[in-house]
Amino acid sequence: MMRTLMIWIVAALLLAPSAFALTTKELAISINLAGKQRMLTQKMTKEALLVDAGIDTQKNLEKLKKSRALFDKTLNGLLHGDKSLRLKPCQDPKVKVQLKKVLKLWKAFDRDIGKVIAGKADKNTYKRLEKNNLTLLKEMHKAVTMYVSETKQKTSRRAQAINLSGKERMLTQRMAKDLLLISEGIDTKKNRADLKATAKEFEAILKGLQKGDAALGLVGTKLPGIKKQLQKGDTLWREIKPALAKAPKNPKLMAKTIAQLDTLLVVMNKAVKKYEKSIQREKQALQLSSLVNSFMKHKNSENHVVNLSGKQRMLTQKMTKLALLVSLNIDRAENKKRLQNAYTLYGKTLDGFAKGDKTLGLEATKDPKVTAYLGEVRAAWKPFAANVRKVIDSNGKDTKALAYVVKHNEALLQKSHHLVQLFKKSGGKKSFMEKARLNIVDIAGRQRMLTQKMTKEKLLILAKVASKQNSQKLKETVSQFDTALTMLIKGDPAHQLPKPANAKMIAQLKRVDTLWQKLKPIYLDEKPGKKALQAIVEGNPVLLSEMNKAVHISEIVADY
Amino acid sequence: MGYRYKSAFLRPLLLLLCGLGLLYGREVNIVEGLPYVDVDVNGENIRIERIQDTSHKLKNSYTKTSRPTPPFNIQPFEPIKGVQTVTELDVINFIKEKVSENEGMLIDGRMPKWYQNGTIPGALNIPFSMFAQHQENPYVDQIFTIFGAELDEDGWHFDDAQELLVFDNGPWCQQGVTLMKHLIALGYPKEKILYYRGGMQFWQILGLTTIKPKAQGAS
Repeated sequence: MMRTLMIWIVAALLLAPSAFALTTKELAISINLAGKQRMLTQKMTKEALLVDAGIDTQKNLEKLKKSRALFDKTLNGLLHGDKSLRLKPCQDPKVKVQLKKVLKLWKAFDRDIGKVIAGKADKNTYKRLEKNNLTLLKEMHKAVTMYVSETKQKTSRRAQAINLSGKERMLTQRMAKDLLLISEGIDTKKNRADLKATAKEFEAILKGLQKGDAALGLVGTKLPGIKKQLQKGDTLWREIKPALAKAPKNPKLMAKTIAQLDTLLVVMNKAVKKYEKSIQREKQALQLSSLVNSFMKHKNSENHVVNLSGKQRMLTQKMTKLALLVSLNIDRAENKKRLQNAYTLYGKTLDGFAKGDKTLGLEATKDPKVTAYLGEVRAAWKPFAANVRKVIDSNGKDTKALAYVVKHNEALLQKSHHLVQLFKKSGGKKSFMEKARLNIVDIAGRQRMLTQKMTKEKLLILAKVASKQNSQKLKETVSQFDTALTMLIKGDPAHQLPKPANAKMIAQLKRVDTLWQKLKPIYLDEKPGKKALQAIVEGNPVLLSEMNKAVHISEIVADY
Repeated sequence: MGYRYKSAFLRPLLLLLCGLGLLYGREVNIVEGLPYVDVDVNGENIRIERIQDTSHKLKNSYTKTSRPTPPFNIQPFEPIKGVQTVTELDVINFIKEKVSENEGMLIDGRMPKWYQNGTIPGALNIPFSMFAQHQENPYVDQIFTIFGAELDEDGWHFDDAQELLVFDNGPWCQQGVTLMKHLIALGYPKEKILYYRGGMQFWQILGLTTIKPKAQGAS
């Protein structure tokens, strides 16, 4: 349920600006000010009635002028934008149509308000005002609902709290207006009923805002600031409520009650603002969260791409090693399968770098340098792949194809390695720790390649292919693996490699080291027996797998 | 009858005394006379208080004393001239007065996984490296707008922008300072930024409440 709600809120946040071409903040201002217009319809009517009743005539005339100007300015602002009100023009066609309907009603209403201000109002003017204020209120309310529903805020309980606490402002003014109409003897019965219903609605909403009301979609607030504000409103309401019935017959009490209703309006307005601020923070958190997720997705993909491009280096050596094992008829069927897999994976990953690959979690690179270099890698890969294919198809008997693989694997390795370095530099400026992270993934990833390279070299020695040269190469590869493993375990500031502090990483590197200490003397043994060779064939995939786990841990842990 | 009268009188009194004891009898207060502060965190009421167990000790990575430099250099008291450094009490006050009222933002500048593991109530996460790229950074406009800054043809205006209180792991961590430097380089006014140097380490050493944020599902 919460998840669905959150999805709706996020969707609303994401959709709102596009639907209205307004930002969330601009939209919130529009909703608040459109909501305030409802209250102004009632306030103007009340002020006009106070003028008619001769109560504080001059003061209420001034108030009426201000309310009228504000309603007019806000309505125009909602339609066409207003810098001083921080309103942007409404972009939604449906809301626009509704606002134009309100404008038409307002023009007629405004003419009568003008008459009151100019002292030219007669009984009919007040009758029209009394009749039309509710139509204007109703249509303005429709516009507010449309703003709210279009943004899907109706799904948020706190948005409902904002809406209803906003309505409370209007209800205070409606009660004041009803009191005046009753005291003037206009439609007394009808207005008494309206006053009673309005008071009941006000009280229900106030209670719902404080303690919750399922029917109204209110959960009640626990926020100390809002609680305090609503309590103020509640205290004041307890004073006003008993006076409502008596006030129309008592001018003194009437003046006091209307003044108190105005104070209640101010109190409720403050509560609305507090709700707005509270929901605004929730929106900010969701918006930030969405941006941070997008940023982290991009950042994680940088590590991932370095990991996968690093794995390509290993695959060049693995393919060569497996081609040798197939041609030496060592576990031929199984190694043929493995060779086929490595061959497929290298090609797939290479394509994934350029075009993106969901299954590999790869996005197409946008870096022009990487794109250009991928062409070079592909040029080297194409003939290499063709020869690997021939080795597979001939059961390792195509010696020409095998010779090609043996001769060109290191050139492909070099190109794959350069690609890793380009990916590391790609993606803009990086912090010390970001660079360090990429170095760890790169160096730990390179170890995987070295496990395959040293086995390949061992097999070439055994197959008596350039034995002296490969023997020298093997010593260098073993030494490279040894040095890099020590660097990973102890850290190396010169290579911007921090010493791991993460328990999982430490334990994993220890596992790799234990395995390595067993395999190292066998690799260096110039005349290994059959048993030793078997140990290499069996131990090498385990070493590769454990090293792969270390790369994965370095890629994902929070605290390296 | 007499016993019943006594019981009816004593029970509420005892309850009241227990309540008062709970409130005022705390051993570990924020400061004397202030046992806790209730704050609004994204619509929820969160109580910031200190762990009451006086034998409690930290067991997480914040117990660690020594980390290699770089990058873990000890930060100066005022790493950026013009940016005020604040204490835990200022942070609590900031959450109460500014964050709850949505007039200020508490920013956790660490990476999302750290933030997810536990942060100061009310903090929002902006990883320090998010603004590292100053040119054509796709996030600056959106985040500055969330901060309340306004963009027009003359550039950014920060009159209505919120005050930011930035923190990270603690005095040995450069992440918060890096984030503040990026923000300032992008034009955010120094006077609208505060720095809590103690960070998560000092906050936790004092046994102050931390929360695991719900809304931000960062990876």
